[in-house]
Amino acid sequence: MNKLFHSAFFTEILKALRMVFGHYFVKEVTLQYPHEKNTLPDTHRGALCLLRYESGEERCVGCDLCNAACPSYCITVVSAVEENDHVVRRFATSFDIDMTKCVFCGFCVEACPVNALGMTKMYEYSTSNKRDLVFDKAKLYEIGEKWHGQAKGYLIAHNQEGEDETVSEYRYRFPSSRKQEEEQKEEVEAQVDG
Amino acid sequence: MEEKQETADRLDHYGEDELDIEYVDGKPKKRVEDLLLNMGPQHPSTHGVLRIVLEMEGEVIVKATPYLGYLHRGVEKLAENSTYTQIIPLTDRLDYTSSMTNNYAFVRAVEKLLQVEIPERAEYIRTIVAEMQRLAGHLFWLGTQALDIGAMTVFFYTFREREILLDLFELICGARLTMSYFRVGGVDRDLSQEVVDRLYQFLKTFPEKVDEYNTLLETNRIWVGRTRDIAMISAEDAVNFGLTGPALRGSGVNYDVRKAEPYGAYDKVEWEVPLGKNGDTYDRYWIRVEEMRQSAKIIKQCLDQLPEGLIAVDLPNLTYPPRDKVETDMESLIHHFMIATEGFDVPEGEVYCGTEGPKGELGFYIVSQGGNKPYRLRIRPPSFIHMGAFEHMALGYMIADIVTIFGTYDIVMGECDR
Ligand code: SF4
Ligand code: SF4
Repeated sequence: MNKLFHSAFFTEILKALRMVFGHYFVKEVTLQYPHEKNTLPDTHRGALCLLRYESGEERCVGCDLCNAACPSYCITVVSAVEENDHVVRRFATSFDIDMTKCVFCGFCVEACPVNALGMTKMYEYSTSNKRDLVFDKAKLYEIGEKWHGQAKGYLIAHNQEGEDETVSEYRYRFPSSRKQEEEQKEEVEAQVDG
Repeated sequence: MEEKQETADRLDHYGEDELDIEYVDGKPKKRVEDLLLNMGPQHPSTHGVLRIVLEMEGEVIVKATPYLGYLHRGVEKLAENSTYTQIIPLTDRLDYTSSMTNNYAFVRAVEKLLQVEIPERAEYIRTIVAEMQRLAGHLFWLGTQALDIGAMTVFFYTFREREILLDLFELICGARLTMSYFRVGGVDRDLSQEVVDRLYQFLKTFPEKVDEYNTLLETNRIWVGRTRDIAMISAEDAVNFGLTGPALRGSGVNYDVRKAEPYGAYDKVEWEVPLGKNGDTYDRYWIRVEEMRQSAKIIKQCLDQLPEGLIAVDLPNLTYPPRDKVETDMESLIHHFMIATEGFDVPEGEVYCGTEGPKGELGFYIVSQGGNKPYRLRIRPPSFIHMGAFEHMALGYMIADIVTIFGTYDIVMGECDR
């Protein structure tokens, strides 16, 4: 009887309609993309860039670690050594990232020992010419200058760098190795005292 | 007589004279032929590039042959030339609607081979993100399955919630779809307080949202009519065909890797495995909805219990050394260089490790001959195995049901073709 009532009066459909019409009075969640944009968190893995020290010197030492860690083999680094007044400096003479191959995994940033690479929130760089998507050294530094804050934010958010220069956090937070270090220090001090 | 000659000439012209044509009163007799229908690989509702050749008798399917391989990218071969860490982004692209669980499955297999103990906090974080991914995967399934069957509204509602989860993923690891969040030995980043707060907030309203989808579907006569008794499979057949996940539990077989061989924090929280009775599409729908409620429960408990501690094992030859020590300590710098350039060595041996993904048991079989690359990596994707049971489940149903039938396994071709 109950079943007959429900099937005769389409109760389930009426219930659903009521719920759906209720949504007229709920704030909409859709973003009208080119006009409105989502705010991205600092962790966002976007286009790559190269960074400089505050003095303007290039951070990259051309060690090729980013290339070795990259799963899609899209970084090419050519490095050189320069000796100037007994100061040896290694640097990258050319540095290309093929953005058509990059999968935005962030492994290169993780591998870089001097935090020369960073990731920005830049994602709108589509072009009709595929060659423009091979970012060379000049282009990467240009992006790095333009989005310096974002790249720094990425490094801090991924525990690559401390908030200020002196305090840098452990990447994976290893209190035990920190403890070991302290113990060793204490031992050494004790020996020195003894 | 002339007419007959004409027909014969015409057939001759087309080279079809071998077809023994019978003539009745000088006219060719009507022939009855099964209709061959090619569905896909570009059909809008085949969930990717799946091609099915259907043999029809009227509207009834008498034979259905799936042709796979349109999305083959050679992941297994690529993996042989990549270090174990470099394989993680490859696993993202298997089942692209649930990359967290793919990462988890792979990383667990390597850890089983390495026999390392993962810190407790890392285990909890892994469980939380895997369950979040299960929610996102099931929401995706529910939305698209309803859309395929013709209920459009549900799609918008489920994607609204999925969006929140994807935003959270972005906050956790930086990507929405291809996470690469897991590392062998732990995870990449810690959960921040903001993530925890937002997750709590999400879980507070989530059960209501599930009720919302149910209002639209549970008793809706069209939904019930198009899912009840469609794609039936008995418990025995389901086991024989190797179905796993909701497809198996829909037939009432109580098998869930999370319960059978607990990993992560699944044995430390309370939850149930929902089981179906009939093994039809409606039961599988019901199970997925129930699983969403269970997943929400698991995440809540994990967040409550979340212990403090490390998020990756403290082994210098497995994980990157602490960042600040790289800049000050020679030893750490050397370890850093070694891990970045060569990865880590895995002992010789073979291992199989199955993990419960949203679609079923995702297994990785690794053969290692020592060194930093696997000798062979074999993936057991649930979607591929489910395709084996496709014909069995499709026989005797109408052509209109075919979309329901491959939607019912939650098939993803990226994983099926690898
Ligand atoms: S983000 Fe990943 S794929 Fe892209 S350059 Fe860096 S390591 Fe290579
Ligand atoms: S970007 Fe970093 S890892 Fe890559 S070559 Fe330069 S210093 Fe080395």
